[in-house]
Amino acid sequence: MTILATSSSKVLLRERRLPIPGDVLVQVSEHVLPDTLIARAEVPGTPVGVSLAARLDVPPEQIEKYVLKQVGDEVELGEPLAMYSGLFGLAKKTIYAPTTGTVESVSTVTGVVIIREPNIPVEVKAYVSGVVARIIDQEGAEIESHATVLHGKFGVGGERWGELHNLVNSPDQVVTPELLTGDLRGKILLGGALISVAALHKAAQAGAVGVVVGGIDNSELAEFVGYDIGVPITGQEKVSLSVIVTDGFGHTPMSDDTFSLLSRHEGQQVSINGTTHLRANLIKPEIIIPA
Amino acid sequence: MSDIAQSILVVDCGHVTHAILVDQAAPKGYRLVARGIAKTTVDPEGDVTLGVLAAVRQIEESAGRQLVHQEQDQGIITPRQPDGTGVDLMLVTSSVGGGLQMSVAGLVKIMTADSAERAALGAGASVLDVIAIDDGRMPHEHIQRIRELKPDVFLLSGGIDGGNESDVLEFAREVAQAKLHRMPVIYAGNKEAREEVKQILGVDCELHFVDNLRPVLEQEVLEPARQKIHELFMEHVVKTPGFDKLTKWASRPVMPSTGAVSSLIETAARQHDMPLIGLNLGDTTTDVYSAFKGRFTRTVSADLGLGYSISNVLVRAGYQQVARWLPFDIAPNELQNRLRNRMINPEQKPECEEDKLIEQAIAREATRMAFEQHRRRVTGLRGVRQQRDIANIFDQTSLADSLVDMVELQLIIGSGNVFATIDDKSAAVLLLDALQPEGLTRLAVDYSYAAPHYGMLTAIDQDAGYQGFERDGLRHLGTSICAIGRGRAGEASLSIAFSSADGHKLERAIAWGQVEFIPVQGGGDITIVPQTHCDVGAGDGHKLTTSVTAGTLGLIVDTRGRAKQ
Repeated sequence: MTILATSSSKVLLRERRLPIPGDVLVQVSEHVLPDTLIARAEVPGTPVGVSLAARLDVPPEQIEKYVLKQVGDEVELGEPLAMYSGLFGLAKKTIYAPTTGTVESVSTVTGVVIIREPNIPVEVKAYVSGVVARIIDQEGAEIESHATVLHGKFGVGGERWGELHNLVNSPDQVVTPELLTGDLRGKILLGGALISVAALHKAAQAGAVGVVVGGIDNSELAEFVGYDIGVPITGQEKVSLSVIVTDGFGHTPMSDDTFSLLSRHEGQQVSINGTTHLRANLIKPEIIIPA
Repeated sequence: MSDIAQSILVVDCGHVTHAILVDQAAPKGYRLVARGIAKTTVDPEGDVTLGVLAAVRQIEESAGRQLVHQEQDQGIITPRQPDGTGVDLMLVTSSVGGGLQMSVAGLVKIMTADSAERAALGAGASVLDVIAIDDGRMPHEHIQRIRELKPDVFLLSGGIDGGNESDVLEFAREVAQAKLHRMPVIYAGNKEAREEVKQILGVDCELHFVDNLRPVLEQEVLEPARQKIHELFMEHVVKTPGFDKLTKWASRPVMPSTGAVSSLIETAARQHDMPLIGLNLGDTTTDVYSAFKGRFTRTVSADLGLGYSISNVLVRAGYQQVARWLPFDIAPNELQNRLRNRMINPEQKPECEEDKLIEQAIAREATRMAFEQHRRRVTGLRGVRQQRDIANIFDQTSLADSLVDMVELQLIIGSGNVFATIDDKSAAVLLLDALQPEGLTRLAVDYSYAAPHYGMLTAIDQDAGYQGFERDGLRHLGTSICAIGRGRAGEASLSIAFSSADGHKLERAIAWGQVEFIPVQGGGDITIVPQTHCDVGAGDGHKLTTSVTAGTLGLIVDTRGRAKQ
């Protein structure tokens, strides 16, 4: 059995940056919690072209006569976008909006109407509790906190935070659905040697946001994630709770040191990230326990 | 033959640090004197030279020669001294940290992005991500990905000279936005866009300009980009703890291990002047090399390997494909759990017999899949440097288009740690299972994983380096005779009559459905008479008479059958 890598409490500096320029919403020295919004940006939605002239069989320069929306108007998926009526009303043709968005242009040269889909918000939150040490112009901030950081062996799911809740009495105890009782909403659950997919699903349904466990069967993890992970680069899985495996696959008790350390912080707010990159820029899943 | 180097120390720093000492041997080539293996010491507080010195100390003890200075920090004694201490040259290859890891970008996946990927692979790099307009991702997702992967070098290409500028500039902005301070970026795109690329990337990145990979649509120019990648590799390795010291000890620039293996296999193709396939099974990648119709090609199958990538092999191949090679039952979940544990602890090599067999099964599947990818790439339309016709630029290739001809194939060389840990019979069957050669093919393995070392030596002296490998690094297992066609197990497949140079004669009838090792020595003449529906390269039922070379296993007859093309 391997020992989970740990570090004692230390000053932790975390850069929290948007991938694209945006608005920074915090100030230096401001106290932040994991869910504090640090910065926000919007990515323009995808433009979707509708070839009205071709579909209505009219010359491009005439399409303005048939378009039911003006530039800047909002349009809903399936809403009539253009209507043609000819032969004294006998020949009618309606073109419906293929997506929801805003009419960006109506071209009488190409006969195409462009609908811009809604902007996509891109946000970055603090993830850890601490103080804003530095502002990164248009991108985010650096958060300073005092914390203990533990690294697991493998994980899935991204950043989560919540109250640490111990489900087991010993590091070799298996987590079964029966152990999942009480209010688990927003909690990060500590398990022992193994957790079943049934228990994972029940935890997710109960609103838990994370699980830290010694071992897990690959088949159970695959069923929970929805597919068998190939390349060991994780963090983008669409899972409602993040899972961190501290010691290995299969029935693997959590190391005594790790279990003891985590158990001591029962009830405390912790942050976890299941992101794992086993090759290239090695990233191991982490558990951050504020001091 | 080199006049200056009587004695050379070659060190490969990879998963372990493996050093060999070779001396010039009469009448030609290098002779292995001793070898040493030690743990690679490159953790953040480490110093790679400590592992190197530990390996070299083993050599000193075996060879009874002093190679290290009294003041150990001064490194290896070069040149060799009149009292016999030291070596004339110290050479270093490295794959520490998985080698050089790159991301590449090009406008269209199957065009410039494809050229960029091959330029990087051809230079010995691993490609982490290929960014293209048509890769289905949004710009901010590209930026996020570049940030997450933190490539050692970024290769940016796109647009023919005088053509599209806006898209390649958009990629440049994405790279700039990732803000990976001082990341080396090689720009190999539209020359007309250089000035703007410089404005976008010149401040925060370490920008290098090389010739456009695709100056015109029908032409591909990879060599300048490859050359630059090699230069950057050198700068990259010295960032590893202790490597700055090691590069000062080295008599020549450090070479990527994979590049050295590539050089060795290319030399083998030239020396033997025959169609061959080389295979290098690594921890994260499987490299396949081939020489057919005068063209040498290397492909890297990222994420097919026996370390971090081992679980991915099972996921991609499927349980049934892997389990068919195992002589015992194992539940899918148990198999995957074992591989996952290897994935998270790649330094722990298999110890029990079952785990060794699982590793060999994975090796077969990794090789099979990597080889299939290789065959699809090696076509008349694709290659290291070639003219492409506008009409076939968008062609998707199939195995039928491949230049790799399994009947024409004459030599297979297997390399990688797995071949250094298994017996000859297991190695031969592994190669047969994974590559499915047809007709007559010689099988050989790099039994001590010294291909990077001898590859480096071929860069110093091609003939001497390869002869050293032939003598001390390569083990010829024998000529395999593989029957094409299918027959019922137990029914007659073919018969052979072998006559050795020393007059020894042997006749044998072989039934379908087996691998038989025929213990003969040296070379000789063989006549193979296949049954009506059996082909050994001359056609169904056609007799074949030729010369063959036996190896440590003699001759290897595989009558398990191959599908006819």
